[in-house]
Amino acid sequence: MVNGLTDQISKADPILGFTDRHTVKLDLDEMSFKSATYWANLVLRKYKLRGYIILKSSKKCYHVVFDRYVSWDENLSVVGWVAILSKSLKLKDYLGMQCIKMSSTLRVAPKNEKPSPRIVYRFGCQDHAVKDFLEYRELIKKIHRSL
Amino acid sequence: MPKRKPKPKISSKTRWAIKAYVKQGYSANKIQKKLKSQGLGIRRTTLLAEVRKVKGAKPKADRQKYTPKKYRRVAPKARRPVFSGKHIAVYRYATTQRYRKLARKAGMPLSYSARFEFYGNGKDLAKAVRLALSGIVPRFEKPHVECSARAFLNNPYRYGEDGEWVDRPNIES
Repeated sequence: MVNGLTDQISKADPILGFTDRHTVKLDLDEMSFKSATYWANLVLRKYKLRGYIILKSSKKCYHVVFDRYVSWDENLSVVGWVAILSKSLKLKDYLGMQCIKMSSTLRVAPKNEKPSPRIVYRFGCQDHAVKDFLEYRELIKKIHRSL
Repeated sequence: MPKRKPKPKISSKTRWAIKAYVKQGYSANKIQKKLKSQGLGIRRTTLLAEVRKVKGAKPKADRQKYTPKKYRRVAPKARRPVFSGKHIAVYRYATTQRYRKLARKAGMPLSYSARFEFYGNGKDLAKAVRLALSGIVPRFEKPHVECSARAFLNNPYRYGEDGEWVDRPNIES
């Protein structure tokens, strides 16, 4: 028997998100906007990722999507680098989940009381991975609205 | 190996006539009329090739440029591949009657992390998501399912079974 688990099951709608292997995505939880932009800029310069957008998913939670397509190996390398240097346990968890699923996912639709993530900052080029991400985001939002 | 077109045969008489007319500075149209009147008519394409050979000229490089738009060959539009490596993920915890029976026996949590990853065109994706939300969840034996939206719509019970999407199990510490 697993200690600490109750038998209660509460129904909930599944979450809709965007998944792929070649877009660098960071899930920066429990981080201020200032720190999020600091890490995004640092990664942008080190890995030459062309540009990025920051989305606010909830209070002190930000998603970063970079513009340059990378290989899966490089994707893990980037996220791992930020997770280690920022000492963010949540980002380490996110990296672990990415490795298990072998693809990275960011939430697009609302979840419980949290609204869908909204764009709060843009920087640099946004005509590759960011553009495709935003297209998919629109599609997912459209599907969610029609449900 | 692609088949080569056979070279058109021209009589030596015609060849000599063309050579002479070209030296006199006749245009291709005029040469064709002259040959026809002598009973030596040939196809225009063959004639032009022969004239070019005599003059030592090459065919125009940018042929499409001099062709009226309505006759131009249009390359087929590059269609966007349906599978671009991007998916829509439908994920949360799930539970089924079959799983709950097993979980109670084994003393495991009553729900498991489940996810569908769909790819395809917009219409199919919307229908697939709606179908998944209506109560089809991935089996606990294979909780992470990656499939095309169309395949899921054609045979949803190949990828999942009837069940419920639920919230994360409560942890009391």
